Amino acid sequence: MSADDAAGRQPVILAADDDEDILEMVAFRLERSGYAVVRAHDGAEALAAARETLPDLIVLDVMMPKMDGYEVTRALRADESTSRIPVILLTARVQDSDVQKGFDAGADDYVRKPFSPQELRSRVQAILGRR
Amino acid sequence: MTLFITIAVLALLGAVGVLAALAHRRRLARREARRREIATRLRAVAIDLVDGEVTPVPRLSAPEALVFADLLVRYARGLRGQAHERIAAYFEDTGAVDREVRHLGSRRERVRVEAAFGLGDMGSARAVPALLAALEDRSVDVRAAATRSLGRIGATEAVEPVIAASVAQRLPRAVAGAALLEIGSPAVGQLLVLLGHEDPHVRADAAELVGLLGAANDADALPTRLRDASPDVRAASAVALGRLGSADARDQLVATLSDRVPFVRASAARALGQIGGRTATAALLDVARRDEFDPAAEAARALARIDPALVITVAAQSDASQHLVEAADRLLL
Amino acid sequence: MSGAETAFVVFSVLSFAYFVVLDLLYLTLTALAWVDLRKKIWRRNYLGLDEVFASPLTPGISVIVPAYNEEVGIVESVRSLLALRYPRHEVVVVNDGSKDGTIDALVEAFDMVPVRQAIREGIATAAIRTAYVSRPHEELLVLDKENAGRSDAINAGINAARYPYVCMIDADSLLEQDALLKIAKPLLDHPGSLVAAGGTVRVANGCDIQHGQVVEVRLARNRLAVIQTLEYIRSFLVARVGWGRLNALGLISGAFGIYERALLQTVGGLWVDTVGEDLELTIRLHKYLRERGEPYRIAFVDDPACWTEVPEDVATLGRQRRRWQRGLWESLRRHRGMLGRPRYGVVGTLVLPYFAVFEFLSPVFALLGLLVTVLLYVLGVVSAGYLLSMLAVSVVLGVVLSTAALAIEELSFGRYSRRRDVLRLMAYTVIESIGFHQLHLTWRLLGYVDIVRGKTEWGEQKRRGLARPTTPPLPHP
Repeated sequence: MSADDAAGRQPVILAADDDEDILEMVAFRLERSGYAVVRAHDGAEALAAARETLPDLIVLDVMMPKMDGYEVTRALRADESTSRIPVILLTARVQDSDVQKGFDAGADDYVRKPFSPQELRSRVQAILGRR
Repeated sequence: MTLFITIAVLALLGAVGVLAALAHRRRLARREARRREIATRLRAVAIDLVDGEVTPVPRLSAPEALVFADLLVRYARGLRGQAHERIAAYFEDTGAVDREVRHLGSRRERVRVEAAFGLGDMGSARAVPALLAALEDRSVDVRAAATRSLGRIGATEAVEPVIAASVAQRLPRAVAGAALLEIGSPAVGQLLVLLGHEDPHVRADAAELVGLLGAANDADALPTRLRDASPDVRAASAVALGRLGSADARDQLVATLSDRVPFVRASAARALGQIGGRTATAALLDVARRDEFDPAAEAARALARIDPALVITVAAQSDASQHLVEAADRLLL
Repeated sequence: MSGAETAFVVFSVLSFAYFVVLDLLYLTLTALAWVDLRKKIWRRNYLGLDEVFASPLTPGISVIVPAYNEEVGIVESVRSLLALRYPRHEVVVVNDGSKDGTIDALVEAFDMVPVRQAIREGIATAAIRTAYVSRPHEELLVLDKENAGRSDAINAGINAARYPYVCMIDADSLLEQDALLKIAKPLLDHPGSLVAAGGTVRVANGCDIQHGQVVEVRLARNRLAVIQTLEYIRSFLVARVGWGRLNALGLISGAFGIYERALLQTVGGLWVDTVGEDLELTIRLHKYLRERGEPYRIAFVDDPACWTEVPEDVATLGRQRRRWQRGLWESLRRHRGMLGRPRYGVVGTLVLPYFAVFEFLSPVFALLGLLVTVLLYVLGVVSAGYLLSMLAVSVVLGVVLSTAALAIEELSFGRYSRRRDVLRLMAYTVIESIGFHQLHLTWRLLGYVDIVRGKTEWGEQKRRGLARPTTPPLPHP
């Protein structure tokens, strides 16, 4: 299966998580689905990578050192060049208020941890297909 | 003189101890480096397995198999659904589940704790009977680890024994609560029964968990608990009603705003904020204006959710309390 | 033998006995710590901190940060506090009338807006000028108040705290990501009875610090810092683990501890007229709770989770130690009624007498006793064997305890990963026991002078701004 878009370009996804195992699993899974994946290990790194590579989509863990996922999302939204990049938050929290907080910060969707890889992939496809 | 020599020898022993510890650390570090190296090599295979790709798992040496299992366990902690089932199937096929079940009967406490904990990460339902038996273990750590694992596996048959162990104070309440949250809605029926338990701590915990796990129609049993003899139960019931958003309970919660215990009034105010609806505004306004700190603060926050415009208006009036003023200021951020 | 000589000999023998008792006590505590850690260390892997983190049952914690002239590091440290792994926490910064741009730095970095915040009147504090809340971070509150000292600032923070538990730290405390989860774990295990918990504090000097987080644990170059690293390892690892086992924790460090908020308000918060406010509060809590007669628990969390900067120059360090002595005196004087009273349990019969005799009076016996013995030997009054025995129980046993602590640290936590650092620490066990410890005792002796003179103001501690900013600090407007 290939996720190449109409122009034949491989979509780029930025994945950020401070848990190396989870990050690798997310990245591997997305790469296998045909996306190019840029990895980041904390919030600050994710923000820098987003500004530099301008990916097609960003998958952000909520709890990361240096800057949390909400903060990164807000910073992305505040910046002209990155304000339109869709963001999916990976959240370990179960409270509804946290989900709301994610949407308030400007996230497009969220996936709850523990998550199912199929679910993550279909959310990613849904968002990228929509555009 | 002998004293001096004795103590000097002790000092030397201490130094030798440090050196031994250092050597131990280096051994651990080398082992970790080896683990990382193997993990990098096996990561692709592990993710294949998790993804349900058909590639067969290659023959692994004993240390490799350990690292591979460790990788899968780490993934299992972040995964659910089919991926999680595939991991469980792998551990069943390799005999790891049966081995850990045997370890639950070990004489050494550490082995039992490790087994009880590890079985949860493997996620195999085959381990459930053994884990249920481990709830009777003489070590609280084994009981807690087994509880956690039963939660991770989502074993509905664990609801009753876990609650019983928690009630008998054989388990920390937080551990039992977390496991029941993992098991989810199947636990609600039992919890509703516990709302009538004789111990107020149990009633309060049950009310809190019903609020977190229940559906809207589970709320029916809660309003009577707003008149419970224990303030903890009254407060927990109010919080639960708020979480479940049960609009039917609005009037009872309004009545609870005049409870004689401040933190019960505060919980009722917060719940009314979550449920919403303007019929509560007059009572909340009264609490926000006149009550003591915590209930008044919660009432002002609740009003800010229900009717922001009202809060901004009343905050400008002369009889506004500090809480209404704060709520208005926060609304205008 | 003349009268004076006899008096000196008696004093020397007394000091000898003092050392023997102290040594036995320390060896017992070390053994207790070792037994405790051996049982606990493997259990750490099975704590399930991740579940705690995801659980909505975890109680909320308000982290209170007093700030005085912290313009350089405050933004970094607040940022890392906001990013702590914990399901429900807020950060309350209390600016204690700083003369620099602390407030402006915060307002700028976190987009803070003044709000007419409602604050409890529970504990009397100096006036609060303005309260600020952050637009993007609803979990951040900054109080700008008149200068009245660290304790007063924390009291104001307690009044404003939203959650049922408060965590007190210093503005330059560096908390690890899981610090709150670790310190809140005893709360979950013993809900209801746990009223406070003290954490382990380690020396941050020399560590690689980025964005207000310790990235790599390393030993400082500065000798005084290395010696203090050793002191902290020994004191937290051994002494407090041992005391904690007896449920007799005498001191929750002001650099990192959590308390039940309602209890703090009942007992009136920190006492503002002492320089030993953390010690005094811990003792007062014991007093209040023992008098109330309900079972309670004050836990000690041994896993290191907080790092702090220690002074690197002799003058500042000396002032700090003199201040400790004065704070100890003030606490003991205030609670002298508890001393030796069985009504207060182990705290009255063991902890306070320990503080009085083995901490407060330590300069008399440990320093003067040693000096007198050396003098008596020089004058030919006592034998070489006696002198050697004295040195053994006083100085050499210090090395024993330090190396034992170091070995336990390496076997249990192993936070110093570089071999060079551990070997250097081992070498410093000798320097610490022979030389530095006597200097420390001299400072404590000088502390008596301050007590007599009734000094109450804080010796100002020079801060270097540990959270080295990656960009230059904001210019002062």
